[in-house]
Amino acid sequence: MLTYRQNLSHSLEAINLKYLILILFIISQSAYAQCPVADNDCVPVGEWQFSITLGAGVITNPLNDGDNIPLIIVPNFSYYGEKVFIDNNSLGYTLFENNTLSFSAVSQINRENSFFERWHPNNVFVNTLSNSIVSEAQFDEATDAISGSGDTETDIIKVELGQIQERKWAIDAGLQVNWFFFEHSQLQVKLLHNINNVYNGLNGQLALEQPFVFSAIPNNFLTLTLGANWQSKEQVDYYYGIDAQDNVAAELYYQGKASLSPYVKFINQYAFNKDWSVKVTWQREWLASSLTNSPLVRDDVIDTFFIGVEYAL
Amino acid sequence: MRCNIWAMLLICYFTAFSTLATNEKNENKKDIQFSIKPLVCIVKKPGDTCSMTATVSWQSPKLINTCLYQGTSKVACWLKQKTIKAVIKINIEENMEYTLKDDNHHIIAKQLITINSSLAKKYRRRLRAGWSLF
Repeated sequence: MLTYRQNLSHSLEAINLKYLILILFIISQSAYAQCPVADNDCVPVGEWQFSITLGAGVITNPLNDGDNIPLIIVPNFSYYGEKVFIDNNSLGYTLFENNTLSFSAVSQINRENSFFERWHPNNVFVNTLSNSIVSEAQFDEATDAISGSGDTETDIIKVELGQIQERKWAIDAGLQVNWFFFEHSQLQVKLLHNINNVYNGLNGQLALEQPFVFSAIPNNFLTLTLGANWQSKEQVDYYYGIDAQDNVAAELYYQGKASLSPYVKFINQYAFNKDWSVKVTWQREWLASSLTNSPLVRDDVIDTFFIGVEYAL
Repeated sequence: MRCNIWAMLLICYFTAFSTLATNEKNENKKDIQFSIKPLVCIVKKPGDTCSMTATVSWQSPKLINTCLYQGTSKVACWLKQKTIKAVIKINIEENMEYTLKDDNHHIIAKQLITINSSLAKKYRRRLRAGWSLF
């Protein structure tokens, strides 16, 4: 028995050592690879990049009674050091990078709560005043629904935001892999786990990005992205599930399952000069049935549209 | 007819005069020997200010009045000189053209001082799609 335990212990040590060597090998590699300076996605190391976009747009909210998120002023900032990077709501540390591959540890704010909370950091720069007014009116409406006034057939089969317990915003962390191929194309894969004890599950993102430049309009950059967002059972259940903690009838309880929602995104940017450009973006995400089956969800797509003028500070 | 002759003479006079003046200007340019040493300033990293002392020297076949400009700023002037060797302080943040101008503010010689950094600017790819909120 003792011999078996010793053998097992030696085997585990050997496995751990292998992983340790692998991790040390990865970390010891040069942290970044140079890129063509003329490329839009190539940024100087050690410098902050700021831009602000002023325009009009919206992110639709798929929830019953959820406000669409207006986009008016959209800030954009990033800092890329030799290893550390901050890119809008994402913080990362690049473990390894060469001309074709990049492995980074990343942490970022989870998107889902922005549909539930009006004060979410992602909504700071949008029209918060009108949001708060609308939210108050909707709160009263929700209170009426709970107290029984205005009961209709649709009130029975759907659950509104004002009826459920408040969801919290989540911070995730995990691994991001970028694979650059054909020079300008890239495949990005992220696998993240919740780190602030909100839903205690995983989520993943997959994105295939292909930019297009047309010789007739050299200052115009069109980027097409095909991707998918995967949410674990825990994440879907936390945000879209309904249980005894929510103030609704037991018939409306819903238990979430893992979901995979594909999306397509177009971004078109026309640069007047190095500081000024005009941007148009459109994205549509088709929500998986495990999300749309929730009594909280009204729409089966999330659309993002924005048109605006960007100034690089 | 008489009027036409006068007009032609006037045109010939101005043409000849302007040709002579241009030639004279070109001769001046050609004959001035102007140098600044060193021509390259090395800074640690891109964007750093270059501070150094440089030796300016110029020679002209005849006595001239001239001024040295850093971009559009006047640095020094000399009256009725043929040869000058002077030490100047240079503080620049980007490549800068130094010019010698005569009394009429015509450029008679110029030199470019360039800035090089010992640490070349490094670039890397953004790892997140541009313009995405999440």
